[in-house]
Amino acid sequence: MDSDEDLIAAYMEGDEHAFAQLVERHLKTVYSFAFRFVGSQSDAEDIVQESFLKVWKNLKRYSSRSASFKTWLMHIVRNTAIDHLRKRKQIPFSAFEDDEGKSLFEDLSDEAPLAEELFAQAQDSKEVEKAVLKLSPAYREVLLLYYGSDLTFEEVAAILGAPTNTVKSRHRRAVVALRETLHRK
Amino acid sequence: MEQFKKLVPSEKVRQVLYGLGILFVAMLIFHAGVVTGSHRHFPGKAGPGFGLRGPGFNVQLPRGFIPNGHGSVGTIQNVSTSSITLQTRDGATQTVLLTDKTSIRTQSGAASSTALSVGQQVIILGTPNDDGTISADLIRATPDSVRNPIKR
Amino acid sequence: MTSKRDMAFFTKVEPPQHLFEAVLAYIALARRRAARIRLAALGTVMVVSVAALVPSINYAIHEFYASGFYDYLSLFFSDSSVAFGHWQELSLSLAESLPSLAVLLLLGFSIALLWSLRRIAPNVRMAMMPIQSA
Repeated sequence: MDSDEDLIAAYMEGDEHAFAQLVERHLKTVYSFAFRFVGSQSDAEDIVQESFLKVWKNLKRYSSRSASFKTWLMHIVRNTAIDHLRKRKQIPFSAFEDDEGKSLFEDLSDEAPLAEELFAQAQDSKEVEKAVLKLSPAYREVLLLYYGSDLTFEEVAAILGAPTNTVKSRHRRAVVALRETLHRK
Repeated sequence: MEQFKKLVPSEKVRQVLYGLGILFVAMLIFHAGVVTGSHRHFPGKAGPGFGLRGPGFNVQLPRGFIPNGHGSVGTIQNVSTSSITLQTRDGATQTVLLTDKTSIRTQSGAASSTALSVGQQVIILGTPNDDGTISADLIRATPDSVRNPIKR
Repeated sequence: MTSKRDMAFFTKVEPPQHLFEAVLAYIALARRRAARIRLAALGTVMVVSVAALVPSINYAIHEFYASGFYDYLSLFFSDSSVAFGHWQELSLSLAESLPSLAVLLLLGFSIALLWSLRRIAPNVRMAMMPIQSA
């Protein structure tokens, strides 16, 4: 199977089918993130279309030296999703600039019970989906990128433009916040 | 149409474009050089301006040639033993000095100054002097010069 | 650390069946729109350069005559040995009589025409492409 970079190179040479293959390969990942991030199918479809359009427009500027294609793609998808929510005024401008969870959750160590609880609740994934949607966008995106898009912390950090340690601590706080949200139900 | 679609974006056309581009840049530098240099070395002789006129503007662009530098082309108005006077293509008067080194030629070959007469079309090659005259090295009389193909 | 296995509810969501075609159609539409804008701009450049090329050719021919360039050049054909004998004055006269502005205008419009023709060809195909709606 051709790598993403091979498909991009083929598209640049004039192979129109290569871009379609790229879309097909990453469509599920992109749609999953968009859908779980905004919680609406029609909005997710808009975000997916807009994201791939941006990818097509900027493909000439993409360089595999700076990031993998998936990382670059998810960076675009994430920004498109945020812009989409901002346009609908569903999130304030400052939502990504404060570490809002930091003061609420002191104890970040007991993650094992969290995992068991969440696994037990996996039967009712709708509840978990709703809980994820209730999280702040900053926590939501870390969870979706790390668990839903099969990315490493380093790749998530590259997408978010933040240091890896910041992403890791944000992830810990996101898991704790998710637990709190589920407990409040 | 298909051939056009293949031909036009081809590498050869691209190379032609690059060649023309290089020529354009070279000509631009040449034009700038002629315009600045002619004012210094041939004061008052630089080619008349190319005028662009319109409501509220009147722009003179230098044409970039020096009509009477190291040569001249025109019609003889006056002949003497030591000089001839020409009326050049742009209507100016040019004095051309005859020296021992001046070689005169007609359709028949080498000739003397007696072969020159008023009304004759001549081509002059020579050395410009500080007083605006040209010391002729070669005077070539032509039966009729190249006709202006574009009447203006 | 919570393992990814434990967060199994973050499974990927199957996109709607029409989404793949919708994405490609969306891009094709944007591509066609961009091609049409480029075509309009290039078409304008082409028309203007063709319109300007004819008078600039006339102007160049006139200027080459007015400057005496043709006359100096004719010496190579009428008196070639003499012309080569006075090659220095002749070269300078040719250089001095070169109507550089006319040549610049001619070159400029020719380059604009050739460039616009070259760019128009691929854009024509893209601009006329039909879009299949999803």
